[in-house]
Amino acid sequence: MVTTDKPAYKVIGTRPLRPDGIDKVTGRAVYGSDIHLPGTLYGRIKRSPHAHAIIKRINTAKAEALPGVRGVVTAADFGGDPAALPDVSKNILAGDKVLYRGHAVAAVSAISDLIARQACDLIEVEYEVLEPNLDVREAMLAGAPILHPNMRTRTPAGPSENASNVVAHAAVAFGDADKAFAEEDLVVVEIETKTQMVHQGYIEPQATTAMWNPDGHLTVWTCTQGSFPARASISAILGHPISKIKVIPTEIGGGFGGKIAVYLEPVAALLSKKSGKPVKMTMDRVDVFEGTGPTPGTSIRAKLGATKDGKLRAFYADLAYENGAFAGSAANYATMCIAVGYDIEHVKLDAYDVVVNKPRTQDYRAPSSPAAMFAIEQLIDEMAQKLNIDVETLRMQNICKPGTRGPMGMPHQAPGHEECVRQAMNSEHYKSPLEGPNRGRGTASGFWFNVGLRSSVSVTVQPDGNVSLIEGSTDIGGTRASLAMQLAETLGIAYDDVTPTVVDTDSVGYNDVTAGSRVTFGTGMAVYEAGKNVIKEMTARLAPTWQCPAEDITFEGGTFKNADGSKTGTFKEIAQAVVGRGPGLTASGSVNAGFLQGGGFAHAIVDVEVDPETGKVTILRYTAIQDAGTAIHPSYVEGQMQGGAVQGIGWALNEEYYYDDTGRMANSSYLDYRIPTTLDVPMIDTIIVEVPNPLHPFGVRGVGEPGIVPPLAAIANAISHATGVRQTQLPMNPRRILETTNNGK
Amino acid sequence: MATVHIPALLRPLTGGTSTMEAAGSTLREVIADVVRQQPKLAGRISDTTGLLPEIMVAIGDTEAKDVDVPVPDGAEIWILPSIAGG
Repeated sequence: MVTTDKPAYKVIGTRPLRPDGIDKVTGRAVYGSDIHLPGTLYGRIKRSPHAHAIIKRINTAKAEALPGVRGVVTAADFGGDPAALPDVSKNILAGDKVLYRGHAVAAVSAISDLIARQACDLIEVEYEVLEPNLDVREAMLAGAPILHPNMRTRTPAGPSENASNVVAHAAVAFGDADKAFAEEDLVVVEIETKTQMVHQGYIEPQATTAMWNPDGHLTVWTCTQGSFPARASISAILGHPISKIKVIPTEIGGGFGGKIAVYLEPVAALLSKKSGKPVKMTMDRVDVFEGTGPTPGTSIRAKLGATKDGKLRAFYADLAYENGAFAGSAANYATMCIAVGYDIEHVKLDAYDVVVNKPRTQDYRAPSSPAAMFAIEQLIDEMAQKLNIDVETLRMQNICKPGTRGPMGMPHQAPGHEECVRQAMNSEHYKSPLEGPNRGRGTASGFWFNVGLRSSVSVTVQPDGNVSLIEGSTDIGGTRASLAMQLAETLGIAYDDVTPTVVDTDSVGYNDVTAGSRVTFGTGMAVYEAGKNVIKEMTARLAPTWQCPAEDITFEGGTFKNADGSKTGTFKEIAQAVVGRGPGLTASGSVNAGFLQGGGFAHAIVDVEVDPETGKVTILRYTAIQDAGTAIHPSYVEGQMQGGAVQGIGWALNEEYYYDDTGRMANSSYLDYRIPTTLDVPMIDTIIVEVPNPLHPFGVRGVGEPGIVPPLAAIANAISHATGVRQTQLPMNPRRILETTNNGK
Repeated sequence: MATVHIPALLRPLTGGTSTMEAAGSTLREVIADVVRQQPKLAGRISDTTGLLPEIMVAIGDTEAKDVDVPVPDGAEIWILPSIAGG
């Protein structure tokens, strides 16, 4: 761990056990499918077998007549304002058109899961099958089959005249890249990359149970990354008041962005309303692959220009991102990440968000950034080769610093990129020679934002001086611990004296999603505020006892002290006095920590060996470097870095949505969709860099996302150095390696 | 007078204009002047209750939490789209 400068903390920086650990390892933790209520019915979704088709007719009569069936719903049963979340609504249950194979068209509830499945088979859907769009560039062409006849491309010159599959063309320009490329004496490298749609690969499929009471109160148990946003979506889709909906978040077996959107929840609620019974719905793995939201495939054309002594001068990229079946802004995210790590005067970007006949895409750890960095970080590597400069030295020559133009044009405040690369260069890994045939070493950088958004917590001081922390941010990556540690640090007490609990939407103030690497950061700020409010209230109660004004009492390092130091007491001692023998004390903290909160850089060094006969790539060694601002719980930071690296390795080498010509995904199981296992990757070494974030009281940066960004390009660079052939398409599986390194023989 | 930077996502509403000068001593007044010059931005940055949830505005390097914050003469104002992540 490399720290630039930070205070001497007592709790922050230690590695305590996680509060939810025992429940999880003993199987007692309650996940989405563990909810069992008396009289529960089982719900199932009828899905489209076609990638693109008009729904001519849906006949549910035979399904409804099947003994044991308690209800059938279609999109016509949604009661919300059609203008509210129209794409979300149409994605959950299709209206007049199906836009991808697996698109939901109807749902059934029954007394058993088997009967519900049989009933789905009895629903008759008449389709007019249309030609699908499966390639992002082909979907952009004039004459391509149109998914949404009313969609016009949003362009800087206004909406397009004709219907188009291009949702938007975003044009970004800083300086004058065209002129720089044309008139300056630059060394230019170019690349054209293509990446495939991949899934977040969470282990726990979506699962929910809904109970619609006759009095109109709806309770939904679900494994979600955001119980409050889920409540808002359910309310909008069903047209039901938000105050009559309670969402209870269960434990969550992974999300990575894939469990932000709702899929089953509104449908289960409708089925419960129809039957008067609780309805439980779970997805199987095929449902997850075909019916939820993976991350986009991309096509990127990019070029980079530098002076002969290595000053990066101009960069251009044309970025086309699949948004799946409905509009999104994946490419726009990419424009904010792709050139953010370097000081390049002239940058021009044309970004296209495109709809295709694939599932509606969702966020996946650092959404849009890995594919963008797959392009530019290979250009950096190639430029270094062309200029005969060490690649890390080239990065350092051009690296962003405070004041350099940041991701949205605003200046960077305290980017940690420079320190990450410096630590990479100083690492034992980078200094060690890599020997042996067919081996290569690659490096790459990555970036993702760190958002704050809205969070609320409450803290109750117990009579014995321990505290309860009530939070609404669902815990995916160990945030119960990271928040409890920040509260303990604020109150000057031990970590074990804090009991954190994640509660439902009726029991705490509003919390945005657990996403964007924001909970330890943003909810951490709410925790800090709540802790300060606790101290303020305890001080007010202590003043009469100590017979002094509250202003004369200070709190530092966990100890209350009067002005002359004659009276002191630890947090626990004072709590026992002013709460143990007084009225209860609960304080809250609520923040809107905004959007721009510093961002986070990551870097990777990877050694690979390429088998020239089979094309198999073996990861020999991998070092992940990341700026954590302040590492609250270093073990969890390392876990996030390692998890991101492994997911990136899978994305680089194996994973893809493999479609046939009709739009059928041919590998919708974990047997055929190959995610890495422990047998596929070495120990991921980590170097935590700590450049404290000036926007957080403890200097925290979010750490959940940047680690997935570098591996794609780093591995491609390593393979290039091992084989002499640059890899421009993902996944870099054995077939592709053999085709590109052996002329397809 | 402040310099206002328009994000790429909103430029389809400004005919491609990425930067503009706008007058006002508060953010509310600056936004009103921006909308006066680019009427298609009406309702896309703020409404009667304040900044839209999907928009953030930074004055210099500080995020503005409401529309009544003062805007110093010569300020750089960045209108930015919301971002979350996975």
